[in-house]
Amino acid sequence: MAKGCLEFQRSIHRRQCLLQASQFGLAGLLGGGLNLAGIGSPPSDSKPRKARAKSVIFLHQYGGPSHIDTFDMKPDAPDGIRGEFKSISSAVAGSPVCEYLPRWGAQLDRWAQIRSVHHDMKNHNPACYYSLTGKRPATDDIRLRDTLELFPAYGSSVAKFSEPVPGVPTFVAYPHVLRDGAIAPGQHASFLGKQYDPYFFQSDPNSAEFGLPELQLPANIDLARLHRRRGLVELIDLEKRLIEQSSDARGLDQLQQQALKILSSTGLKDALDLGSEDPALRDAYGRSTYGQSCLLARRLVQSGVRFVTVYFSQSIGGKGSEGWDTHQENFKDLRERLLPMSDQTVPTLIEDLESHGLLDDTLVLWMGEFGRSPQVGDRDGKGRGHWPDCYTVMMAGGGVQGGAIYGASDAKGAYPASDPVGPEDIAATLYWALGIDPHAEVIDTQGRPLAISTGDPIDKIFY
Amino acid sequence: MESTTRPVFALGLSTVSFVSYLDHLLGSCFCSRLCNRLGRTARLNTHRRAPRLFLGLLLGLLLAWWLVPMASCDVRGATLSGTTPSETSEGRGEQAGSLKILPEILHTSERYPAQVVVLLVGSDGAAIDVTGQVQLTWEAQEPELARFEAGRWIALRTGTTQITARYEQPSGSIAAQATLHIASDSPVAFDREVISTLTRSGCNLGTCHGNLHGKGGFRLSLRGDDPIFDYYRLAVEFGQRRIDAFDPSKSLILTKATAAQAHQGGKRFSEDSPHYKAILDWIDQGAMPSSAPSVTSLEVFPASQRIVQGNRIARIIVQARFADGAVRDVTNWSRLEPSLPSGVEVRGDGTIEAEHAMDLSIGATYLDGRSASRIVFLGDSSLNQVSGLAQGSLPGETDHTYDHTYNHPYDRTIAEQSEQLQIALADRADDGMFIRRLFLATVGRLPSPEETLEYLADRSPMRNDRWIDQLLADPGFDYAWAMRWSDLVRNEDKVMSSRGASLLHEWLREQIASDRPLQEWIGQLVSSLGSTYENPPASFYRTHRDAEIAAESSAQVFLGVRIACAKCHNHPFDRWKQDDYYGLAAHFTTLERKQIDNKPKDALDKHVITGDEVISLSDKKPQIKHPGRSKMVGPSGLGSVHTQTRDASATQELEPQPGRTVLQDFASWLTLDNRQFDANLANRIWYQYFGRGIVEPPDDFRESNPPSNPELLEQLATDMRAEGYSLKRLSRNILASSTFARASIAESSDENLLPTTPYFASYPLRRLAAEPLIDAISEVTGVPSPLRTGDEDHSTVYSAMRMPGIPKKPGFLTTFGKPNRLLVCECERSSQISLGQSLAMTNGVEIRDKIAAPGNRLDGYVQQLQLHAKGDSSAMSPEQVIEEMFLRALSRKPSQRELRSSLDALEPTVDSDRAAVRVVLEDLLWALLNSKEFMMLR
Repeated sequence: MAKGCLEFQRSIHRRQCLLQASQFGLAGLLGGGLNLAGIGSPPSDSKPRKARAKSVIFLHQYGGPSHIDTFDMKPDAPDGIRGEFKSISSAVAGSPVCEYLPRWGAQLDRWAQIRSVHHDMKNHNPACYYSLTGKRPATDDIRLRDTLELFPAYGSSVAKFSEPVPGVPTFVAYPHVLRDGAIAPGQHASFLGKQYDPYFFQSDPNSAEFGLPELQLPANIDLARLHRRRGLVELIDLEKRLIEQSSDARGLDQLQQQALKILSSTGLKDALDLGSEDPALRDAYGRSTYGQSCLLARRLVQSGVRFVTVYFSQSIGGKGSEGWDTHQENFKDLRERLLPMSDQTVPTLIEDLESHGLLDDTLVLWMGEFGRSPQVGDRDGKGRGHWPDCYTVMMAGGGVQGGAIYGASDAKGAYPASDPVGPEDIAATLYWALGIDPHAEVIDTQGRPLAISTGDPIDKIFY
Repeated sequence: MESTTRPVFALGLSTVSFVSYLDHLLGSCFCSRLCNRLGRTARLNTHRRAPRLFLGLLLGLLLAWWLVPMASCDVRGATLSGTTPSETSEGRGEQAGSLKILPEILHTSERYPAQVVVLLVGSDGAAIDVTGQVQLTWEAQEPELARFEAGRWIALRTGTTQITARYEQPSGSIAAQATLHIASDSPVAFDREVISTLTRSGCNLGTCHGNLHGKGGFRLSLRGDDPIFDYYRLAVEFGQRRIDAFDPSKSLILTKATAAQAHQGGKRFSEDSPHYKAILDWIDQGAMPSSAPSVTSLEVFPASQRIVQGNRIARIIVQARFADGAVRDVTNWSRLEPSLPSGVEVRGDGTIEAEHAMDLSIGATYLDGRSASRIVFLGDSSLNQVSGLAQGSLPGETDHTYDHTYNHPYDRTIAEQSEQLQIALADRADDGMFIRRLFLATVGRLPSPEETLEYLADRSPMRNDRWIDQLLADPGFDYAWAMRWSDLVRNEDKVMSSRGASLLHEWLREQIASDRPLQEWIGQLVSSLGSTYENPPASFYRTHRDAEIAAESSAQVFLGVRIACAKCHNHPFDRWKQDDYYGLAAHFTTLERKQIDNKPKDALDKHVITGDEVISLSDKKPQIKHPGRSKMVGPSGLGSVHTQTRDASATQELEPQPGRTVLQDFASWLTLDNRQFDANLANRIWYQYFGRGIVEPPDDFRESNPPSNPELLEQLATDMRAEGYSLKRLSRNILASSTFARASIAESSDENLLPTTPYFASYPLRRLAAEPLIDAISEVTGVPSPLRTGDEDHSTVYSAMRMPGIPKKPGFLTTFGKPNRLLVCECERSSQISLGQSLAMTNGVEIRDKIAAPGNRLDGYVQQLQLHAKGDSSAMSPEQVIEEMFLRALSRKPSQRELRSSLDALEPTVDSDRAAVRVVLEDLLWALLNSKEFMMLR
């Protein structure tokens, strides 16, 4: 069997093969395959899996969160690799988590872990672009330029292949523009066209003044006056009847009506009104930009938004500021800032989605642009460096099998030991989960037909 | 073209180890590294590292053999290769119902039975395809040579005979004759029958096994580009799983393709097809990597045709000429691809069925040969009589006379085509529409109320000419074109520095203002060296920083062709080869750039260059590594590489002229007597005034993307030469045509009609571009927007049309699609509409502030109205204020209805406080800015 599997590693059958291995109880030996500990019986491989997610909440941790210090703990590894943190048991037998993620660990049986994600971009912006689009950049250029030749954000492709929901944008992204020296590509619709750009804002949901000026009518314009203005537009538009003549004019008119609808009605504006939320729930999410952004994500999904991207921070950060780039003081930063914040917010989001009956329909993705080096000792001797060669991506909701573990890293967490997965496959998985053909074709600026993803969906982690 | 024979090298390929190196070299070197834009790279290293020098050389030689010759198609000669529908009929003088056989010389053989197209051509040149009709009968003068069966001439014996088609009509029968050659076939050859089958059946498309990663573990070269590679994949890889020497019919390649075994790609051909038989024969004969004479030319019959309304079937025949002189009907062996994505079905036998009226081209690919055929399925001309807005009282009525007496040659050409296509010509635009269009299209601003009124009052027959001349002399014209060229050459602040961007912008503006011949200054732009501050045109190589980018950019900007695909493999939809790509790129390999005062804030950002840069050429020999040939190649112009022989050393490289730089040679090749250069410029100038190219998109000249009106493009290109490459004179010619003055009319949603705008039978409606839009808002409200570009000198301009670089921060302009100048593609400027734009227009900060700003135009109006209310008769009345607001925003007076409604709101307030008056005016101003009429250019 093992020989057969090796031979087929390069073929499409490789996952099937390893899954069979795991069914035969060899999972432990091979260190790979799909581990469904904590689940009744593993589904038979032939069972057709159904896409059931209606929305995605994409939580992106810029800077690159350490996989070894969170979900892919290596308690038996040598000192310089294991790190300072102890592991604690989680709701999934045999899958310990970091001692600073107790709440997340307690609900780990809601999550699927993909522990063998890897790529070859060592710099933040190219890696970030890869993680936001599933498309490998041509070069590992530290200041990769954001041009229309590059691939669109996941949400933009989703918008392209979805029916719009009236009154709300399909794709909303906030509250940061990711940049490391230069704006990281992959945050907008690129060559798909502006109509698929995210509805984007930088306003801080944690601020008392949170609001979007273009969604707030000025004090001296009430609904009656807005209505009067619209009446005047209709009067003028009637004169040359351009709306009848041109699809562009028709489109302008429809979008104008949508804008006025957003301005004058509930829907998006209500979703953005965090003040109407129970203060206790707001506290539970955490009174941080990230916490309130995640609460907002749930509200947006509830209002019909299909794809919500929450960026953890605007810069890679590290050293106690903003992001996850823990070259220095890795353990201090994780312990004091990053993990407590994540452990407060992310499990609350899952619970909140569930209590609103949204979890089955909503795929939650938690990841960064890469992991961190197994070897401790970067820069100040207490940090971990960039590590795209192996890291973990977390998924919950939207039909994901809780407790599933797909792929595995080697003993040091350095390279995939089984079932290597690329960002392409992550992209394919989220399109698949939404019922969008992962290989749906789009046309780039050169007129080339390209698939939105060249990967294969990891449908095995879904029911 | 001389014939070539291809050495057999089966021996060389017979050892698996050698081939595995080929695999390695091809797989990793070719595509993974060079073409990773097309797909992702191998995920895990294979750890196969071995000395490859010798093998690389060997590979290069083999590839050189295999890169099959193409017709020598110098870009200069082949540019305006689209043909008009009228050519089909060859003569408007023909009697109604004449019969026409295509091709006139047929070639048939057992494997390649000749098909034929028979057209019944009417007096207007439009035709009905009668090929499949029962009224059509055939006879051969020597019936023992061939017989006609199921639409094909079946070969019986070799020889030549005359054949006659007879078509029975109620009025009697008509006939036509053709010549039929019957030949015998040579044995099946891998690189002819097998490769063409894979391509024709779509097996090796980018979406299937031609993908960088293949499909289902089976990978082929993209569109059969690389027979060696494909031979390895088919015959060697995986032992002999894909072909079965013992039982050929059990070969995977056959069982999968016929869907006898589960195949995700479905059934590609059937067991009774000639393709199945050919592959079966090939395996049966030992599955050798055998070779056949290469294709020297490919021709599609008819080159173009117009099919009479009500008929929705057309046929085409593809004939290939081989290096040994043989000609075969390869319709059934070609890949046929329509230029339109939907509404049409193209069958393997060359039958095209359209669902509705359309104008399309069918690209034919057979091995290395490419050709295209244009088919117009005419619309229902009777619908034109009641179409559009002609039935109402609206402006823009249609003209059904196809007046051939137009004075202007462009108008005549367009009228002729409209008549042939039976589409209605829109009437003249009304005066208000015209003057607004003229201002926006030439100087990017709205006419002032005074200018509009002056134009409206002018009754002179020379009125348009006078206004056109005035606007061509307006500085706004120079700025509009300086902006366009700044977009195209990527004049952006980061790499250029703000000062550099301003200097280049100013230099471009000067060239336009002095109307220096385009050919001259473009030649200077692509050959200048030195300090970009002292010699701004040297900036072209500051923004295009590597040889390959410079090649791609100059081809796209100055020739309108996209060659990027040919970087990694021969272009799948065009005739460009890797030879073309690297020959062009070689020109730019000795460029050197020296920074004088480069202090980027971010030392890691190599895309930012501050201060001056000095561009120079090194003494090295200009050459570049051609990965396909694995050798260094020197400079050559696109399409000028001769590939009749497989010896790469025989390519004609441009020899550097003594005393001239390689860039000067490039400039001469590019700009002197280069018809593609002329056609591209003419098309881009036309695009500026119509928002749509004759070739559309304007930077995508391709055989399979022909000009919508080839004569018109030819006329413009010829005119440009005749006018000495004067932008202003060619612009005047275009702007003075009745075509530019046609109304914008309704797009018909009736599929039985052809659209009008691609043929310029009406003026294309479109959204205003970002810069004229913000400038117009500033003008109408009386509140200019200070626009900052760049970091260094914080220069502020108050007109977006005059901004040298790009905005420092995203904002209104980027929301509305101003390009960041990171690409040379016209597509970087977005004309799309979005929700963000609507929110910006309805409730955005800019609009809000400008409407509410104290001291804006509304303040003046309020003052006037209050004076008027107090009896000051020199002050503006409510009617006058409303009229001026309409004139300023929409270049027309309000209609009675608009005036009445506005007065009803305004009059009750004029006696009350200023605030109440202002509220009414603010609402009207907001409504004017948000009207579709304001936001659109029509």
